[in-house]
Order: sequence, then structure tokens, then C-alpha cells
Amino acid sequence: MDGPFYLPLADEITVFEAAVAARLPVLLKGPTGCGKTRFVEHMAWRMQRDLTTVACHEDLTATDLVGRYLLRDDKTEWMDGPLTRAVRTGAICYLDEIVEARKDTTVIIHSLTDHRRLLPIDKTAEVLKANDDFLLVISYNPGYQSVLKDLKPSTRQRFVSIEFDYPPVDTEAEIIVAETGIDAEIAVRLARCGEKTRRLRDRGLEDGVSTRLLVYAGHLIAQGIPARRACEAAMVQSLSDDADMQHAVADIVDVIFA
Amino acid sequence: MRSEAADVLPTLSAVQASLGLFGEAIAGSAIGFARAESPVECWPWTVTAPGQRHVLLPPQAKVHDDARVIGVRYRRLCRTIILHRMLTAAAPDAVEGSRHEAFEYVYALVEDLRVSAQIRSRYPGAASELAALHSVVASELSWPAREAGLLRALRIRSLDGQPTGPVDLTAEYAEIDRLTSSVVTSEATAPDSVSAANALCDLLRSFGAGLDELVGDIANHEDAPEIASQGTTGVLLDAGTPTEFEVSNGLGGGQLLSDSDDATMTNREGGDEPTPGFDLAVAVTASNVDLDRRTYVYDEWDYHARLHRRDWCRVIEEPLVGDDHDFMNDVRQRHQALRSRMRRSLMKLRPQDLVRVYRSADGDELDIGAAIEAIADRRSGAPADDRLHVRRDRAARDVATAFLVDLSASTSSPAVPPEPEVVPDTDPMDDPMSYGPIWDAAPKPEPVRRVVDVAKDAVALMGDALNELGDQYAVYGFSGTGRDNVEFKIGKDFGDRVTPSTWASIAAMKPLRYTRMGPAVRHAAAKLGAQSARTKVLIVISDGYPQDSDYGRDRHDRDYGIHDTARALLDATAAGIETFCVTIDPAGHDYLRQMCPDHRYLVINDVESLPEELAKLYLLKWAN
Repeated sequence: MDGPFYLPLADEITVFEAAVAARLPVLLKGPTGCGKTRFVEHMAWRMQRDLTTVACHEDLTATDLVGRYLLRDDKTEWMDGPLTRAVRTGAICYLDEIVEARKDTTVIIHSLTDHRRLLPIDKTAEVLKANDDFLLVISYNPGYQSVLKDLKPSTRQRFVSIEFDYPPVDTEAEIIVAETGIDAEIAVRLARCGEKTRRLRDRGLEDGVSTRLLVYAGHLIAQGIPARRACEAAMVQSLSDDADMQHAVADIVDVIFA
Repeated sequence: MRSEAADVLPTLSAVQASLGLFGEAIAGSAIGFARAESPVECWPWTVTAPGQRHVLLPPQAKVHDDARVIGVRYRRLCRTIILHRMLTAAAPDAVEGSRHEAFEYVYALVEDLRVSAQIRSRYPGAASELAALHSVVASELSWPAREAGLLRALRIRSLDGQPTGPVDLTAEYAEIDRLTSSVVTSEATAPDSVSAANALCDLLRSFGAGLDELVGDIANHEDAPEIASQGTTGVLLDAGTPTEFEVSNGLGGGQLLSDSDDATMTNREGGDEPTPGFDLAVAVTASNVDLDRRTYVYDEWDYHARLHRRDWCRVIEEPLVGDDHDFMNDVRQRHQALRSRMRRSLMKLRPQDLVRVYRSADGDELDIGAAIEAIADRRSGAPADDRLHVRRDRAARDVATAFLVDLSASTSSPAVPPEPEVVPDTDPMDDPMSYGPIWDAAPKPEPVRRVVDVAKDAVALMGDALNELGDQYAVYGFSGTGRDNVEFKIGKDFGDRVTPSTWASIAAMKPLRYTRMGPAVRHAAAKLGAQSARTKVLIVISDGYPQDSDYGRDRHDRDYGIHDTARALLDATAAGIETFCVTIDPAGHDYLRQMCPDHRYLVINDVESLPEELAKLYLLKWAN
């Protein structure tokens, strides 16, 4: 069976495999929708490992990751969190957008990310030694997080970093074709829209159109929606609420599509 | 869905923000716009000078078209011109002198061919506008008598023309097509245009057509368009400068209108037949009603009479609109070191306080009390509450800050006083190493940074940091003349989302008139009072004591203004607002200690350190 589609842009697969072999945790850095999560899914499939993905949010606490006591009948019962489960079973634990989570979560992962590979669980007075196959992967978008949420150097320096960015036009078009099955010519035009809007990153568009949004537009086109309308729905409206910015992005789409 | 139709006639000022973004996306770097003085400047082969980042655009849409469709048409026209300009490469400095001029002329036509082909293949959505633009230009061209067949064919070819018409140019077309076949492919680049233009120049010269004279002749012909009769004498404007546009009706004389006036227009006067395409027709204002202005009335404290003068001052609130979209990037660049220091300080802020929320459905730990109750309830057969956890919620930052910037005329003074000029006591001509006074002249000085520029940098940097910190903030400016006209300018209001236009609005703050500080403080405090934040802060940034033409018994009555401002600050404090005054006036201690308590003001001696001092102040007092 085919695994999740991923088109390598550089040597990221080799570096990831080397990190796994050396049991080093991995940090994936890059703008939103550029393929970080897809990459991890692809690598988990490639290496035949289970993958536990946690989408971090600002209310995510260490307890949510490690586990908690629940009441069952008249007793309390310990329930492992996703991180603890992955540590026990030797899965890949992928913490997506780690900086979004509360600060106590980053402290929890510190002892897992150095040579000790330990997870202390205060509530059960247990120190869990990670399974040999356990791998911690975190992702982080340096572009748009608030300064209060920046990844601390003490955390950052525990990971092997692999940097991602949006692919060049031709590669991005290839991805869009592979994901949506639309005509290559239209895919190139979609990729060009992406390339142009990303030049407005400094102008209030945080990351520009992501590959994911371009793929969405491609899916809509494949469903029979006219290209401009598909781009408006998937890109123009999703990118910004600023009227000038919407006009500018609509203009870009307008001139690129016949 | 976004509606494309515009209800009002569009002008360049109305669309330039979004067109600027469009142009930047195409070009990869910021571009600016200027109004074209004549249609010729917008024609396809008008190559901008190398390094020039301004695109000349028609200042407004044609007024005789249907208003519902004209918005779309005008945008598309401007967009096509921008696209064409951004793809066009300047002629290389390959040939010297007049031969170069002839080459440039031919090159521009060939480059137009190449760019048009690029647009058709890479930007097909703009192809129909380009064709429309070409046909308008072709119909408006008047031909110099001496223009050779080949050159004329090239020009028509560049405008997508066909080999038909009064003169049969079929043979010339075949030749043009042969020589320019390499530039009309989608992969062609500017060097291809250079080669084709060289080949064409050689061919034209081999015909003995007197190419250089001919080109000069054609250029002269084009330089004298029949624009004067249309009655527009636009002042060429740089993007970002205060805009004034002189418009006359062609009968001599004219009125000076502010830029905002061109938002309201009537049809052009006279019964002229409409000409196709864009024109620079006369814009006449019907009215000058500004719907964005709001008026408020405030009391004033009369220190001498010891009473409040009721409804004494009229504050006119108006949003600032600017077009300097590079301002924030420049500020970030200018204060790179300070910015990274500020970021580091913000990162060191202690973690937010956590609030324990008992009896939650979900949480970090069990709520023992709730659990015992639930067990007891269950055993007694009563329905048990299933909210058995303790959740720890972050206490969000709850600060709203208003920056009130003094925009009095004195803020136009240089931030750093100029060095006294040293006059040499020797005649430069006596110096054998000198080539005379002209060559020894000092290089053109950098534009002088004014006090207001530093203040703008300071509030913009703070705004940038507060965005990241999550505090609400507003940036206001104030000035005015007399109690009936206290100007209150809004760079960013509370609740405004931060967009590139926000920074451009802050950049539009400029020195105005006097400093009637009391009513401005009252108005800012009223706006702050409407915020729900727990901590409300008002920071006044000024360069001198409060004064106005009628602020007291006479213009030299300093005490009246000082006491009125002190009263306004006191009232704000009583309303729960933390006030703070920052001044760059070295004599500030004299009056600030009368206006506010010692720990509520700061005197800065070095103007350029204002951004740093303001950041320090904020971090120290309100960030933690």
C-alpha cells in the first residue's frame, strides 16, 4: 500500500533517518502548511512506526500530555496521556506547533530529549524510561508566534533541526498535481499564485499562501469549480481580512488565470 | 463574496494601497506610484529610468463611464500598467551618445513586444486589458510624417496591430517578425530584446533611414502631446509626500485642492466627446464633506477663575491616512538592536499568573471536595455532578494603553541640532589641490530627522512590541489652533486590527499647529475609559509646555495651560487611568512637576533616545 505522499525538497529524509538511528529528537521548523506534518506521517510510514500526533494549543498542559487520574466507579484510575503512551510503546510522538502549548509542557519534554530519555510522572511517582523506538518530533513556525511564545534556546538546543520552506514553483506544482490530479498547467498557475503572494510576507500576510491552501484550491478545481472562484474561496478569503490585501491577492489570481 | 463593482469613481489614492501590494508581489520589492501628467507616460513602451521604483498611473478613472463598472476597469487598467512595468527591463548602457538614444527607442518597442508576449503566456488574465490598452494607444497615436515603414511597422506590431490600413506594411511585418521571433516566446529574457533591438537598428541604418534623426523627430513628436488643452496641470507627486494637486478647467487659473478632494467628483465640464481609454480629465470638487471627522466638546479648567468653563473646547477627531508602506520596515531596520533587546526583555517576563478554577469538567488534577461530594451523592442515589477537576487557567494580560503624541509645529525641529557651519577663512581657489568651490561643495546632506519622526519611531516600535505582548493600544496625535479646533488624529484606535495601513497611518503623523494639551488628554482619557481592560494607561509624549493661541488670558500665559492639563491628568487618574508624561524638552522639569507627580513624568535630554526610554518605561511599569 502506498504511504502518505511526500516529495522531498532536499536531504530531509536522510537527516531524519540519521537522527532516528542516533535516537535524537527532531525539530521541524517552517511556515504553516508547507508539509511538516505530512513529512512526519510519511516518515512514520516509511519506518513502520506508530505515530501519535498532538496538535498543541494554548490550553494544552503537561497533564494533557502525560496523563491524569480519572474517577471510575468509586476509585481513581490513572490514564496515560499521548506522550506517556508513545514513550511506553515506542511510537513517534509528534507535538505540532509546540510553542502554542503552555510553558510547563516544554519542561516535561526536556528529560526526554537528552541522553537520559526519561519521562518523570509526578502523580504516579514513576520515572519512565523511553522505549528504544520512541522518537520525539516537535514542529514550530518561527514566523508568527508572539514573542512570549518563542521557543526558548534551552529547548531549541535539544533538537536536531530540519528547516522547511515552501517549495519552488515547479515542485509545488508537482505536489498539487499529485494531491489533486488536476491539469499540470493549472497546477503551475496555482503555484505561481503562491510564489507571488509569499512576497507579501512583510506586508501583513504572515506566511503567504501555504501549499496546503493551494492544494485545497486544486481540489475545488478538480470538483469543477472555476479556477478563479476556487482561488477566491481557498486563498483570497482564507489569507487575510484586510480589504487591500484581499484586493491585491485577488488581482494576483486574476492576472495569472485566463 | 467580494463585490468587484465600486460605487464611487475610483482615484489613484483610493486604490494605491492594494495596487502597491499587487505590484510588490509581482516585483518582489516595494514600489511606489506617481500620477501621470500625460497619457504618454502610461503608454506601454515608456520605460522607467533604471532604479526608479515609481510607476506612473492615471490619477483617476474616466468620469464619463458607468460608475458601476468603472471601478473594476480602472483597477484593471492600473494593474496591467504595473504588470507591464514590472516585467520591463531598462535598456543596457551599451552604446554611447545619440546612437544610444536611437537604440533605446527601438529597444523600448522590442521590449514591449517581449513583455506583451510574457503577459499573454504567464498572466493571461491581464491579456485582454493589455489588448485594450494597446488598441487605445494605437487609436490615439498620431504619426510623424517621416517615420520609416519598418519602424512604424514595429510600433504597430508592438501594439498587436495587424498589417492592414492605409499603408500596406506586409513586407515590413514579415521582416519584423523574423527579427523579433526570439523575443515573443514565453522564455525570452531582456538580453533577447537587446539582440533583437541591435539587429533592427543595424537593418534600419542599412536602409540609410537616418535612424538617429528619425528617432529624435519621433521622440519630439511624442513629447508634445495635446494635453495642455485638456486642462490638467498635475504636480508630479512622490508616493508618501503630502499631496496637493492643482486642477484647472483649462480657462486659466486654478484652485488648490487637498488630495482628499479628489474622492468627490462630478462629470467633466463641457460637451467634449469622450475619448477612449484613460484620460486626465478635469476633476472638480462638488463638496468637501469629510464623513470621517467627529466632533466632541469638553470643559476646560480656568485656573485664574477657579472654575470649569463648560463645553469650552471642541475636539475634532479624524483618522490619519498615509501611504508610506515602508515606514514600519524602515523603523524595524533603524532600531534593530533596540528591537531585539525589547524582544529579549519581553521573553523574560515571568509566566502569566495562573488561576485555579474548581469544579471543572476537565483539568490537571482531581477536585477532592467535588469528588467526595459526588461519591456521597451517588451512594445516596442523588444525581452526581461530574465536574470533578481543578483547571488552571492563565490570567490573560489586561492592559489598554493610549499613546498621545504632541504634533505641534515645534516637533518639526531637527531631532539633533545641526552642527554650526564652519566657514573656512581661506579662499578654496588658493588651494592648489582644489578644483574650486563647486567641486569642493559638501555632498547633499541626509534628510534631517525631526522630533516628530523620532516620536513616530518610538510609538511604532512600542506598537510592534505590544502586538506581540497582546496588550491593547491606541496611537493618537494632537494639535490645533484655538479652543474650537483641537485636532485629534487617530493613527491606530483601540480595536483596530493592525494592518500595513495602520503603520502607514502612524507614519502620516506630521507637525501641525499648537499644543492644547488639556482637551486632548480629556478626549484620550474618554476613549480609554470606554475600554474594559483592568489596567488603563495614558502616555503623553510632548516636546514642550501646553500652549495655544487662546489658552489663557494671553498667549504668554503659561500657567493656564499647565493647570488645565494638570486638571485633565488628575481627572483621568481619578477615573482609574494611569497617566504618564514623557517630554523631550530639557526645561520640562519646570512645568511637569506642576502638572503631575514626580513618579509620573520623565524628561529625556537626548531626543534620539526616546524610543529606548519609552520601551524601558513601559517594560518597567506595565509589562510585568
